[in-house]
This record gives sequence, structure tokens and C-alpha cells, in this order.
Amino acid sequence: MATKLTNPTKEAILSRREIEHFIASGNLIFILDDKVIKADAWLKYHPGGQKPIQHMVGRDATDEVTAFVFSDQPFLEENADGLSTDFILQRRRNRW
Amino acid sequence: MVRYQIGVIEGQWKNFVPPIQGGIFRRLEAGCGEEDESSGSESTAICEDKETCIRRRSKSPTPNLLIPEEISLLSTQTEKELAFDIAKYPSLDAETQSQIIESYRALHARVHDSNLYACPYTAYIYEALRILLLLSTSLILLHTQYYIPSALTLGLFWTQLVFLAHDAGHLAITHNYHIDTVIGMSIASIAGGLSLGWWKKSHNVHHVVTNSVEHDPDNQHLPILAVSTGFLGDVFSSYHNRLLKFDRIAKMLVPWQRWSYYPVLALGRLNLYVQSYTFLLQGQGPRKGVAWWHRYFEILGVGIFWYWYGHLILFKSIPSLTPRIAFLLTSHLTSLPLHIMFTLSHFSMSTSDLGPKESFPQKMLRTTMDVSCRREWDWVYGGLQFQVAHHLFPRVPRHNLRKVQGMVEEWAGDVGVRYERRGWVEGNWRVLGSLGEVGRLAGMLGEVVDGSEEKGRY
Repeated sequence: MATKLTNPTKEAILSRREIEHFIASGNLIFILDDKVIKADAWLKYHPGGQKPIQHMVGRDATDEVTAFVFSDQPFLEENADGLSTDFILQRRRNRW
Repeated sequence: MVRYQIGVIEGQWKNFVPPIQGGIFRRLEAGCGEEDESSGSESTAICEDKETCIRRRSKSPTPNLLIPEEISLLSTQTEKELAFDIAKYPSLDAETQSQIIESYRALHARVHDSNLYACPYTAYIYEALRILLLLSTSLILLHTQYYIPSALTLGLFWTQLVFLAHDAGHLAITHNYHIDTVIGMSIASIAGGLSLGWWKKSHNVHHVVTNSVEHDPDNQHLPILAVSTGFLGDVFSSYHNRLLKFDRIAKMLVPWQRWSYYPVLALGRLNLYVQSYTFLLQGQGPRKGVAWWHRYFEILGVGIFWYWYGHLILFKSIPSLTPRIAFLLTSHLTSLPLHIMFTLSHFSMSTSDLGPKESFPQKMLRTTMDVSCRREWDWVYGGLQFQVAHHLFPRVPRHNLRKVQGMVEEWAGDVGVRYERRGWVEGNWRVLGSLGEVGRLAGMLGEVVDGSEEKGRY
């Protein structure tokens, strides 16, 4: 359990309880699609400010991110390895 | 984003209340790991029932200065408003909300597929011509010493520019972060003497927690205005990181807010200077990442603004003090209609918090309304009449919002979430009515306090 929490991998399945623990430990975590995103390191670089991210902690932020964030915004290009509106919409369509 | 991924979830996610909104999170203690997990995920749902959530919300982190009579008066009112919303809007159960989310995403896909993210640039040629016409008219009038008409035209020039800066701030013109931000910052700082960075900082929060009493900066105007009864106690603003006290000054001013509303809005631009310069001087904007230099760009821009507006126009072009003051006041007061538009779409809508179960699209429809407007007057309203569509899809270019509005209205009908659209005059009456009602309650609180002062509360 301890190793799972301190050293998670990208594909590790995290329970709601574990995510609660992460947040209780001071991490900024939100959900994007089915991904668990830890935004701590990114917070200071977010050109939209820190508060919007803080308001998403513990929440599914998929709709907010899709609505506000552009695929060609440079901070996403540099940091986000291919998150894009088209991509999200496309993926959703496949899921439906 | 993948770089920051630390795992995946299974099944549907149940939202927590974020820490900034008062959510409480428990650590996994040694020894109560897996076993606790199942019960944990049930009981952790901090806002499982609305009750707990609302209680938390009405509790301010510092001792409340209100007396019990006041608290019961206010909580009755808050509960009334909440019950109204719960009756009027779809159920908050997971199934209903995820249906709304799913259909909202389908709507987004339709907006996207209908090419409505593509900016119709020709529309901006007309915008530019209109703006240049206003500026040159103002300068000609100034030159011919018609100072007041010149100031009026300059005010209209600023108003039109604000619409443009709003588009740019949302990256809704070229959709390129750098280009749109430079357009927006140039307009705001050089032409308007204001900071786009300040505006973005607060506006982004406004879009995420629209109309929230504790969290939306666009709602927090104490001690002058109290948009909702929620402000008639002491509210901790998570945006300003301080307690918004319903103090003696507020108790004096808020009962009159129905009458002070328009005069206050007319002075709105002065407030924007204060906010902008505090933001720039304190360096509240991003200091790292792609936006680090924006602060310096805007400080320079504001300097240029005061050179052309303060030195060249007010000082050099106008010969004496009285017409200078008249010009300054007229050009600033002309922004009244604009500031009315800013508040019209939200001030009479709900400020209740339905908790973490409410979906993003439902919250936007519940807290935002459109203003009806004929197509040929779209440029006067500057796109701010399409607030619902804009809140659902903030990056869609302004000139496509009329089309999106039609789609949104139809979708809202299908999915059963109320969509509000009112005329400009009716919208104003609604805002005045709502401000008047809150003001009346504020007056009653004053009386309660007066009655209890003998008990030695102060």
C-alpha cells in the first residue's frame, strides 16, 4: 500500500479513498476523463492562474478543461503531450 | 497533461468538495488501509447530502458576528432560495447529471463539427472600422473643441474595445495563446489603461465558480452591494483570501443598493483602475511559464495610456481645468451601459450552491441568463447578450454565438434544464428587484441589531 501511494505509475488504478488521501496530504489532484492528474508542479505555470485549478481539486474537471483550454495553447504543447479538444471529442465519440 | 498523470480511475467519479471550498479530506492512516476503503468511499462523499454541504457553506471560518435572530432570518432565506432551485432544476442524482453531461458533450461535438470554433475574421474588419470611426470622430470633436461629445465618443470607443479584449482574453479570436493575449493586453493597457492579466485572473475564476457567494469575485461587492442574502453575514472570500465583513458601512449602504446600483456602476471604471494597478504592482500574475513577461508589457502599456489620455488629451488638448474634469468624467461615465451588461446576465440569477454533484453545464444555465437582442444590434451588446452559450463554450468566437445560442436553447429544452432569456429592460428590472429584496432584508438586519444593541453586543 505504502509503495503504491508514494510511487504511483501512470496506469495504476487508484481508488477514491486513495485519491482522498493524496489530497489530504496536500496534493492538487483532479480527474480528466479517467485519468488522475496531479497538478502541483504545473500550478505555477498555469497562465489561467492558480485558483481555477484549486476549484477543480477532487472533482472531475473534464468539462471545464475541455471548455477553457485550447489544444494549441503553448503550455499544453510543451507540457501536456497531446491533450487537445479534437482529441478529447474524438475519444468521447468512440466511447459513445 | 499525461506527464502529470499519476493513475487512472475505474467507473464513474464522485466529486469531492475541493479543499478551497471547505472540503475535508482524510488521510489513510497506517492499519486502516484496505478495510477502510469500502466504507471510506461511501462515507467520504463529503457532500453526500445537500444538508451537510449547505451547512458547511454557511459556516464562515471565523466566528460569525451575527446574532442568532439574524442567522435564522438569513438561513431561512438561503434555504428558501435553495429549495426553489432544487424544485426548478433537474435532480442531482448521478444518473440525471451524467445524462446532462453526456448530452452537453454531444452538443459540444455538434458546435465543433458545425465549424463554429472557426473565427469569422470579416466580422472583425467591421469591428475595427467601427472602433477607428469612433476614435477619429472623438479626435475631430476634440480638435474642434466639442469636449463633451468628444468624451462621449471616446467612452463608446472604449466600450467597443472592451468587447474585443473580452474575445481576446478568452483566446476566441485567433485561438493562438500568444497572438490573442498580445491583442488583448494591447487593447486593455495601451488603449484602456487597464490590465488584461488582472481581468483574466478574476474572470477565469468567475467562469469556474459562476455566481458563488464565497468564490466568484464578480459577485463580491461589499460593502457597497450585496447581490444575494448570502452576503448579509460575514463571508470568507476564497478569491480575495479575506473575510468580507457585513460591517457597519455595509449595513448603511446595502439597504439603499437599489438606488445606488446605477451610480456605482457608472463609476465602475475607476474600480477597474484600482484592481488593475494593484495586480500589476504587486505582481499577482503568473511569474513563471509563458506569461511571465505580461506584467512588464502591461505596465509599459498603462504608461503609454496615461501619456496619450492624461498628457496629450486632458492636459495638452484641453485648455482649462473645468472642461478637463468634464471630459474625464464624461468619458468614464459613458461606460455605464457596459457595466450594466457585465452584471445583467448574473445578478438576478441564482447564487445557491447545489454542491459537488451538480454538473458544469447545469450550473452554467442556472447561474447565467441571456439578454434578448435583435441581430442588427449585436454589435451594441458586444456578444455579452449570449452569456449562456459563452459560459458553456467560452472559446467560441463572439460572432458565432448567435448560432450557438439557438443550439443551446434547443438542447436545454431537450435535456430539461431551464434556459433563461430576458429583454434588456426586463433584465434590469429583475436585477433591481433582486437587489431591492436583499436590501430590504439588510435593512431588517439593521433593525434587529439596533434592538439587540441594548443587550450589550457591541
